[in-house]
Amino acid sequence: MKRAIAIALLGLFAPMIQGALAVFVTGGWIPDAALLLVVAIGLGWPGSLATALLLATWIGFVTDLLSGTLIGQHALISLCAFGTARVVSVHFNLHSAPTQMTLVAGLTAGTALALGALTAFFSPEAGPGFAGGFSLVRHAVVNALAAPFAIAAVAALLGRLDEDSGRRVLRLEPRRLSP
Amino acid sequence: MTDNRSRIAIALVSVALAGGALVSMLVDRRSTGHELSWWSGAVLDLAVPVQKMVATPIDFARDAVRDYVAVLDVRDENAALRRQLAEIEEENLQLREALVAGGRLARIAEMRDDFEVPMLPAELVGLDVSAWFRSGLVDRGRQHGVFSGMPVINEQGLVGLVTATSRSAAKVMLLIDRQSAVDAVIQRSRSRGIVRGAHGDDLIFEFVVRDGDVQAGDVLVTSGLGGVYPKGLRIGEVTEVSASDSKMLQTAAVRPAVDFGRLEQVFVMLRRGPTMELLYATDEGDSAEVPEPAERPKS
Repeated sequence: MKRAIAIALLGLFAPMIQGALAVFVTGGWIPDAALLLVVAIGLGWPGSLATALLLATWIGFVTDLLSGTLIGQHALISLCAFGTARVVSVHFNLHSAPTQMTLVAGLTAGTALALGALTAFFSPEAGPGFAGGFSLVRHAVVNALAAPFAIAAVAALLGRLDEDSGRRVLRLEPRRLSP
Repeated sequence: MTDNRSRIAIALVSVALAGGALVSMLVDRRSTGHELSWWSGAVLDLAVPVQKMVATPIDFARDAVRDYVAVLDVRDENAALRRQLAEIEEENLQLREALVAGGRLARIAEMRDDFEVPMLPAELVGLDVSAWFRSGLVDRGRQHGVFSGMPVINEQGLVGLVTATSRSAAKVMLLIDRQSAVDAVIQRSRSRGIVRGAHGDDLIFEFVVRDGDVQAGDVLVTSGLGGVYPKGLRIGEVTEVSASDSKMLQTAAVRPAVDFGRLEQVFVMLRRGPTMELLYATDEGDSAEVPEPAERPKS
């Protein structure tokens, strides 16, 4: 429960901080906090899969609210990104930084394509919805570079929350034994 | 057996969540007014103080560096002169607009009336978290009299349009967003067309080849048609006219008047155009008049 609350809060505040930083660092040089968080839980969520799915959707909805997209667009993509990360992590060893970076770069391109396709479908008047070329490569590289740190940070947070519950059990142990 | 049940449960949860997201998109697409629900409004309301908290130390550090480099008095004087220059430029633009339109002084007075809309200063606290869209979050919402469909400007020109509001925040679709489209006119030749957001920070002006007299350096202003934006707001400057493949439409690249990379202070025009009023009135209890803001706007 604690882990779910921690990730939910992280999913709420990380995109807000990203949005605030974007005012100062323009041009798409800030990593996509939501995508990184979704990938991180996709790779290392230790609890129930249903909770992780709910968390991924929640992170997507928060992104939708802080973005110019239709509400639900990022939620759907977030769900797919989580699923992809989960499936890939079952079949490949994603413990090394290069493999994580490759996965995130691929997912960045995939989510951009999916966002473009959904925008073109739901808002055809906006024209072709996919921004390709340099912006996509730059964004994929920025996300890929940040990925190992984000994944490690989330894993450490999840691990710490586990450790805390373990410590509490140990602290209670002597009391039970004392007469 | 339990494993199978768990798999079915996960599949059902996935389908339900994906279905929910799709339904949400359809509902959002169909809805006209975007005065957000309480929970989504609460997220936006929470975003404003969080983003201000993040911005404050950065602002402080940036200002300290600026102050160290520049002499304070000179900077203040410079700022005052810039403000004055912006005002004179705006006035000049309006006068030129009026002269081009009819050459009558009476028209100038009429235009001034058009522009005498109460303005609410607002601060841009956050930009779009998606790299593929261009919107911003400002720290003024419904309690300040800000509603969907209101234009947003700054001293340089047109910034965008309010697309969603919560109690104390509003989402603004920037002019450079690819979903944005503004009816515009070339100030010199009066050629009309549509300005759309291109990928990146540029704009595209689409106009009809037959009537199009468009050259690099031409200034684009809002035409006032479409009933969304008032007439005469500066949009940008034509940088290049593309060779046309089509017999009907031609495009020109436009550099926005507003520097979207340095956007901080904006003004919300507290009046919606007739089209926006028609679109959004039903969602706000058929009110033709925008409610009085809690804070007095500085016009």
